[in-house]
Amino acid sequence: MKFLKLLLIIILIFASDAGAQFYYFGRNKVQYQTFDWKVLRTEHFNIYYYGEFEEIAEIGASYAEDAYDELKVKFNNLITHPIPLIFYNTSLHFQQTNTTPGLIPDAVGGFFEFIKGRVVIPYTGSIHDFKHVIRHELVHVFMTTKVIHVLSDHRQPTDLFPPLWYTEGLAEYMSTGIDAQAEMVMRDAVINNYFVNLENMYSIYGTFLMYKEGQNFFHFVSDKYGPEKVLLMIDNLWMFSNFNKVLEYTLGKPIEDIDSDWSFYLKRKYYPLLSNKAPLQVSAVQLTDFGFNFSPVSYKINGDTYLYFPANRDGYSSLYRMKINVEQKSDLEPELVIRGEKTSEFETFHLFQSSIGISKDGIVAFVTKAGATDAIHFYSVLQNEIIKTYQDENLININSPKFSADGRKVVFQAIDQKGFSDLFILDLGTDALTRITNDYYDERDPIFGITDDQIIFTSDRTAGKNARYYNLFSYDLQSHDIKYITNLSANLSSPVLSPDKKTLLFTSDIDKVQNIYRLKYRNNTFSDSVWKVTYFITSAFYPGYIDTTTIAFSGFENFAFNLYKEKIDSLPSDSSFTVVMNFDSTGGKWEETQLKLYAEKEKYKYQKEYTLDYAQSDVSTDPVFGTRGGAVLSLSDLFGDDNYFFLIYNTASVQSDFLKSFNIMLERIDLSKRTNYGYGVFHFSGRRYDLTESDDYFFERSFGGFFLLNFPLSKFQRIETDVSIANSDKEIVAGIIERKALLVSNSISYVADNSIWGPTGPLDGIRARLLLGYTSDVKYSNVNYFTVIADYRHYFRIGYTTALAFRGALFYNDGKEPRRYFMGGSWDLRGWPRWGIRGQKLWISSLELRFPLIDQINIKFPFINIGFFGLRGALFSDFGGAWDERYNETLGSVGWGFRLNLFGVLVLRYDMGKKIEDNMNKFQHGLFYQFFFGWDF
Amino acid sequence: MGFLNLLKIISVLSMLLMVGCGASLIRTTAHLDNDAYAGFGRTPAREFFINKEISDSLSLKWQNSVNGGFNNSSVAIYDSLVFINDLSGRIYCFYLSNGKQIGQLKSSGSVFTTPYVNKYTLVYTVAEENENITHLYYYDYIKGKMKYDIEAAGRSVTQMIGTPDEIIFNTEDGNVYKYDMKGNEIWKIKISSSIHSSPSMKDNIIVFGNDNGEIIGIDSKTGRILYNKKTGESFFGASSISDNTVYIGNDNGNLYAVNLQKGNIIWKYNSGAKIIMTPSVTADKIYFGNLSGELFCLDKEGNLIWRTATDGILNATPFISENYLVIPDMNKKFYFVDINTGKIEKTYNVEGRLNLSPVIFRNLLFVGYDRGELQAYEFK
Repeated sequence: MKFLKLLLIIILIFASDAGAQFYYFGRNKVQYQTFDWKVLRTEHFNIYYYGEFEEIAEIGASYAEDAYDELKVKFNNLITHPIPLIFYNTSLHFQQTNTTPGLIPDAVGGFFEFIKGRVVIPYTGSIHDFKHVIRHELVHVFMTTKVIHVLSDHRQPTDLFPPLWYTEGLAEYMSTGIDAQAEMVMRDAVINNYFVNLENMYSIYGTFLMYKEGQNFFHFVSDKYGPEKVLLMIDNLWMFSNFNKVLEYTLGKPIEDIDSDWSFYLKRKYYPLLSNKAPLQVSAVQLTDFGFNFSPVSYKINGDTYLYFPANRDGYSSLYRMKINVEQKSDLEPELVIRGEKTSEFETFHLFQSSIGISKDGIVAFVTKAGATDAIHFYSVLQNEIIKTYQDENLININSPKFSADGRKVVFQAIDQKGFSDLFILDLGTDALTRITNDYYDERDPIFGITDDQIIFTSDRTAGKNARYYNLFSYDLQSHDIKYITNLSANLSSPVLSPDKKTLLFTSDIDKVQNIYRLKYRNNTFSDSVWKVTYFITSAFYPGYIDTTTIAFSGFENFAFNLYKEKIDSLPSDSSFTVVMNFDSTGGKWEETQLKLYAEKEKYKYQKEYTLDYAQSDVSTDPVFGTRGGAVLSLSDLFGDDNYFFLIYNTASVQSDFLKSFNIMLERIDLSKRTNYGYGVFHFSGRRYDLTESDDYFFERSFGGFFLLNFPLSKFQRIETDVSIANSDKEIVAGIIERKALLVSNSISYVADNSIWGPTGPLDGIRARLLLGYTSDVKYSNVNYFTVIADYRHYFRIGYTTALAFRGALFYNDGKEPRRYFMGGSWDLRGWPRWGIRGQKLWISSLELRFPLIDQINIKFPFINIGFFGLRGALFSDFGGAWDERYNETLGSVGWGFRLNLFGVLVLRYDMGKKIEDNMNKFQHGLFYQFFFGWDF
Repeated sequence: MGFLNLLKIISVLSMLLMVGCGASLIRTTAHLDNDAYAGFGRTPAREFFINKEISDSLSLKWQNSVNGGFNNSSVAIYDSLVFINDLSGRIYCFYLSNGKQIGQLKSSGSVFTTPYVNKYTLVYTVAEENENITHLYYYDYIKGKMKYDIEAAGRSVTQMIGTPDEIIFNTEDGNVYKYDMKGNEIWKIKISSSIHSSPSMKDNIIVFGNDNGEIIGIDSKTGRILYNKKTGESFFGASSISDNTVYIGNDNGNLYAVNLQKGNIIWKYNSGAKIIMTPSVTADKIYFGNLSGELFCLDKEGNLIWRTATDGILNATPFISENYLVIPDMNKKFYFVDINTGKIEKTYNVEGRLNLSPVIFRNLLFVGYDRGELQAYEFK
């Protein structure tokens, strides 16, 4: 499910708040651990790892070297400097990385960062997945350098990169075969008619579908035009600035014909599936109708049957339940049981990797990230509350807890500090934890077996001719023996026993996508034949028994994961699809190659390696201000933990002013620990225009230092403090110093943010900031005032992308020479002059209905096609006032507007309406019209 | 800002503009040279060897830069002049003795082929940007004038064949052309697949491979296809001919020995990785490398004599002497390899990724690497 997890990230529009940590609001990237980084230097890589991860790091190193040797041949290209490869032992630790500034969603499998050339990869417990991601990212490294070499050799601009579908599709094509997920997505897209051809690929930019279509396209090219054509497109990049022309030239056909060929290739491949397989909607009863719904478990309360399941139906992953009728089709809408991803104890549901369990007593066990590690929560369906939470600092990532028959124990899979994915049993009475396995084989989906002394699980420990496939195994808690239950050349998952324990259901990709299969249990042994239960075209996941004849499961169709139920006693008792297993080849076990092959491996403790992030300088001349110049540069260490910023520019208009007109700032920010801090010094000198004070220019020279400290309480809340000291000389009339001050300013803030965003702004959750500050002139007593800022925003979801947004804010400065705040314009008090309302005290309140108008606009130009996503509308009312000493009047406005997200980075806003003037006594004549940019509040 | 400062800025800008817009001109003189290294592989059969022993001790004699990067072509040398193509569409001419640039010819596309020097005429092809055509240029470098400019369909991205009477080249989209030295098309033929394999020629038979994995022989007099043998995967490697046998490598890593007259495969040797270089063939041995960085020496029956592993990529043709083989490695170095044992006797490191095929001429070794850096080393 690992790459399917990308779906959630890419499709849901709500992930765009990442990276907001160091702004006015925003969530926090919390560094719960301090990593003791070590370096493993190999022939072509510097591999960075920490803690007890050495064994897996060496496996990764060995594989990276193998991949390097293979890719250099395929690309006819090599990288002549060591490639930094940074390994995290779990995805939870990976999410703490500062190598990229934004928040990393649960599902990201790794990335190649272009500026420093870093490859950053988490380990997820699976060596197979680890290899896949290493190879995927190395394809990016080789491709990127190849593109740059080709273009620079031909003296072409080196920004003529292929489109994203090409780069990601190629990385997938060259790093993995067509696995069950790729097959599932492509089958679904072709059969359900949402397959997007090359000409319209821009309309699925960045989506999981784009990844899989890109991958499929290269298989098509290889089959139809020859494997050499895939990379020949890179060699031909220099010929055209339009990539479609490169494609046309390389394949020798117009793009329309290539699209027709591809479409025909896919239809011919997938349409025959309709002859002996069925869509989910046809052969099963659909219970949910949208979102991402997984892992249903059932429980009867007062004779009514309920399904409990984790799902993401509104942008937040949460626990839901729905009442179902086993016999009938019509069921009720799911209801929310536990709201996830708004508070630190339920920070993230691992929807795509963890299932839930339920005990005979109605206790639901489910996993969320809670702080530094995952936690298992126990929710009583009868008491409707969490009755217990279990967390162990050594178990970083936990998945799929399942109860014993007596409900006293829970078995689950967890990943430890070494990166090992193993099985554990928790005694709920004593909290005693027992580790069952301890190796690098990937154990998954454990359940208690025929008795509570047996654990059934899937694992890639399969040896012999089916080596590394995920088969079913049993573990005897008395003898500690591990035995094969299945031996198939396929991947099996999600085993579940029938209530009478005569049938073991599981899912498998035996016929390319996940379907449900069963094994019989007779005479104290599992059968050596596997029967196919479902014949879905796409996939089924997480089967669970509602009763002995009915199962519920999650299925993928029409690009959604919904819940389905099906009577399994109505299925043929003996399916025509049966696989007989042979266990002759299952002796021994496979061992992974470690770096021992390489004689020149060396290990070091990491010493900070600083490189430039960006640098820019400029000298400009204009007729008003004369010649001026400056430079800005930033450098940081390899992990982005230690950052330096340097700014210098000079504003002198005449030679005599040169020395005193230097503006310099040096700042260091340390993000390596949970408490982030920064400090710096500055000297600023020159003419200023203070928007908050007056309409005049004045000269100010100030110098001093500052210290910042930021402590995240959780992903959603933080405390910020800062202290600054600045000597400020301010003159409005040349040569006459109007005000001298030695300003000491300090503040403390509490910031909360659990909002999720749509295309133009927040749609759900809250954002809040409370700031208390004090500024004083400690030398001349010219300035002395305190500050209170209270800003609260609440977003009430009405529909999937419709919300009612409320904002109430007070900005208050009082004392001697306090600064003014300002408002007016498209960002706050609409209709009024932009930033034209000023005061030492200010309040504003807004109410806004945000709703969708057009989800997507595609424009086809002769030379390029462009898609715009999310044209939205708003109805709003704003009220506020600003004053210095005495409150004057309340201002307001009402109106409506349109917002358009441009390429995900900029929102254009057009508002019209009426101001409410004369202290809220009358509407203005006519309408106001305002056009600006910016996100919704 | 004063007027003087403004004048300074304008002057600097003007100088930059002038430097960036140097003339497209090569005008020089040369003596008749019967021993010239007049084109890629010296002869149409491709001979990358000299019949003498060389020292493994070098000193850098001169170095100069060109505008674009190099592919796996080589320099062409005539009398005291060194000519080199680059991928930004230019042909450069340097003095052999000191590397000083004499001039350059500019075009809008890319020059993949080593220019062919026919006395005082320089012949080369330019693959155009944005348009699927090739310009075949005949340039008189004594007069500094273009003699002929012929437009042909398709882009020429491989090495051409030059003789005193004819020019033969193929294009990426499957055209093969023959022109005389007056720019007249003698014949043209289109084959069914794309071509990325440089041709060689002997006994009036032109041989190359194509993307479809076929080895094709063409009668150079008539343009008639003599044979078309399907082998394995695509050919991005070039052919060379010795005696009556063609040697050519493909994407499977196979080196094929093919009968020149009939096109039947005599033997094949699998090297394990893609071959894109032109094999170097001497009287009794074949030398070639592959993209995994392995270097091979076979006898003419296809038996392995030795193999040597390097840590880089071998995509440029080795140059053979009687005692050493000189081969560039993309991993920023070139090697002197004992031709009898395969042992790397000496390694020279350079600052870029080597990809130009080396040439030994008189007492100089020419190599080239990333960003168009051309170096001439003198044997001590």
